[in-house]
Amino acid sequence: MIPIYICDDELSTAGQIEKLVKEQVSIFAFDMGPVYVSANPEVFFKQNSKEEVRGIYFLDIDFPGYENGFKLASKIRERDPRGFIIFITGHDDLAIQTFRYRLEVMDYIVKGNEQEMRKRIQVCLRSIEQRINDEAKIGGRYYSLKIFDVVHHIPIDNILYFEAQGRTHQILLYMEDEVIEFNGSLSQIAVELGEEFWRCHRGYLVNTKQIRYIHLKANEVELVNKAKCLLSRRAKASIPEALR
Amino acid sequence: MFLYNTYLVLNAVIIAICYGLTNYGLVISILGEKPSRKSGVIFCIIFYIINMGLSGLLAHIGGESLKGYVMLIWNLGVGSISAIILVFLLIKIYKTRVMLTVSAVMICEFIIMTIASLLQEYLYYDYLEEVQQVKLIIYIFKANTLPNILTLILTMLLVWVLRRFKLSQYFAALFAQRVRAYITVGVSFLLMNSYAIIRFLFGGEIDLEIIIFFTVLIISALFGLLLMAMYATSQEKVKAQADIIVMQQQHLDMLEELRQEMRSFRHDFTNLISGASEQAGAGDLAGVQEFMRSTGGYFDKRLGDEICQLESIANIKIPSLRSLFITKVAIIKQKEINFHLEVFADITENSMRTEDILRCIGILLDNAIEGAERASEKLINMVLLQEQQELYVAVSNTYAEKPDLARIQKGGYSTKGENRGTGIQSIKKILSNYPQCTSRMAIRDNLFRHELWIGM
Repeated sequence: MIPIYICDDELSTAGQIEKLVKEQVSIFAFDMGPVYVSANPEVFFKQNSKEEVRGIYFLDIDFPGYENGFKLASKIRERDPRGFIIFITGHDDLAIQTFRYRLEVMDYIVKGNEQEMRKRIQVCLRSIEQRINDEAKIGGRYYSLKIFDVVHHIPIDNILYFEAQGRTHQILLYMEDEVIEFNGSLSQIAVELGEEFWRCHRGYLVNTKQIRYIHLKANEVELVNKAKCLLSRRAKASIPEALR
Repeated sequence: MFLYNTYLVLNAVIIAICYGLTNYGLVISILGEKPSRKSGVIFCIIFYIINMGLSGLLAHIGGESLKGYVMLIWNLGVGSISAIILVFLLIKIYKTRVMLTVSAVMICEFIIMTIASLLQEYLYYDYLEEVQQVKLIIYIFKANTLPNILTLILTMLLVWVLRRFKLSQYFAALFAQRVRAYITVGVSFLLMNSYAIIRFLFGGEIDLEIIIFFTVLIISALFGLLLMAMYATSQEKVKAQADIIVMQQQHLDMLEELRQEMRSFRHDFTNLISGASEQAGAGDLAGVQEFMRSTGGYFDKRLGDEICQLESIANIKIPSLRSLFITKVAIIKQKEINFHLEVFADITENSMRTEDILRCIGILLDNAIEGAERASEKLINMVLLQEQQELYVAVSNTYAEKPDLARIQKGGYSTKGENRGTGIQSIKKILSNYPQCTSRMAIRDNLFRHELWIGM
């Protein structure tokens, strides 16, 4: 069960969302609940602080000034990096992209038209359900990457490989549709991630599950998405059992 | 003997302090940076260690008996080692550009050498007199300690002049273009080594004419540098002013366009309102609600992005960054790309160098424009957020063909076959100067998104 938190200073809106959410959860039998409702973000935050599980958050960002909504969401992100945040707003919000990008807010719901709200809430809850199921399938193991005060949880099975960049201490993390570049050391990551990742070259750390072929002659490792990593002579001796 | 040894140590300390401070102070004022006590002290200590180490070495190889010529080489050695350390220290602390720092240090080395050797010449003392211990101390004081202290005083005077007339801005202008920068570095290198060169060319015997010739040459080189710097600065000022005029014109155009939209909107609005009031009169509540909803959307769609853009641009408090955005907004508009810009907190001067911010954001926007202009739905989103520890920049754009992220990382890649890759390599290079930078490229919701977290 994944708890749902609703926070809006207008109790009527909060009540409306509560009603809609409960309705959708019971119709589609989502594995979600209980639903907590609060008007004051501070009280809500204290209530939330007792919990440490991942949650779904419906937040009103029309507290005076964007800043407040943003701060509240930042706090929640810090505490619950994998939670799902959905904003409630009075209009097609102007700063919505900032929230989306920086805090990885899922979506936003525009107050007013109940029909629209219902549709949007349904879409959100469905995609949350979908994501949770997907993650459960892969065992739910994550590589945690801290970018300033936000920890990003990257499902380990999504990782293709890590690559060290020349002389700098920059590491590139490759996924299917995403590349992240950060400060780190390949050896340390190799220790953190354990057996499943293979150091096929001084500059590469590959997810063994993502390997398709090992081209011994061409000194290359080909991955399922056709990307290629270098293979060093020394690593040929240490090819993991499963791949031989 | 004890007195003599103590004095030698004291002398070394004094020289280290004088020499360290003169070098540090002069270079800092040439570069136009703020002096900090910490780095000054660090440099003095490092110099003291070098000085002691080398004089220990000198004593070890029996250097006591060495005379003028070797002493000169020894001085040169100490000079260049401390110069190299100073260069590293400066680049690390002030993040100054390498070429700029190197030639500032070389010029400063030259100036100090000139002052010091002039003084030494002037205060020359006949050491062939009976070498008793007390007299030796006086000799060292006159020949070594005093000139160093005087050098410090004279240099501080020079520093004051440099600061008073803000000559550092002229110096920086010398590095605005590549060729100019190379010439400056070359000239400063020659200046630094001028004494060694003269000695090399003419051996020990130097007659008056050659001295005069070289003095004139050196002075004209210095003068030439100064003139070149002043000319360059004035050119840049003219160009900067022209840029500002263009930028303000563009801003005015933007406002004018918004005014036009407002006018036509007002016209539409009156029509819409009269329709709605009829509906209200007829008691059609659902119709009125529908009207409210559609009008809100209509307003957001027509004016929302534009007002948001203006508001965002107003939140950018760095003038040059603001003008960059105004220019880019005009280009984006001309290419009929929808641009959604969000800067909801102020962007102010921060520890990131303004040129670096400008280059990064310029490259990001150029890339986004290049991607979006060939897409069927032309859209660019941009978010800028300055927080306590970091500057967050995100740009996303639509694309015609899905970019290959791995190939972009390798450099030299572009969907268009142009310089996109080099742009991204430049960003990498710039960001390598900042601690803890993270970047992310991803394809999400059919948008190519590039994000930067820049640590400050």
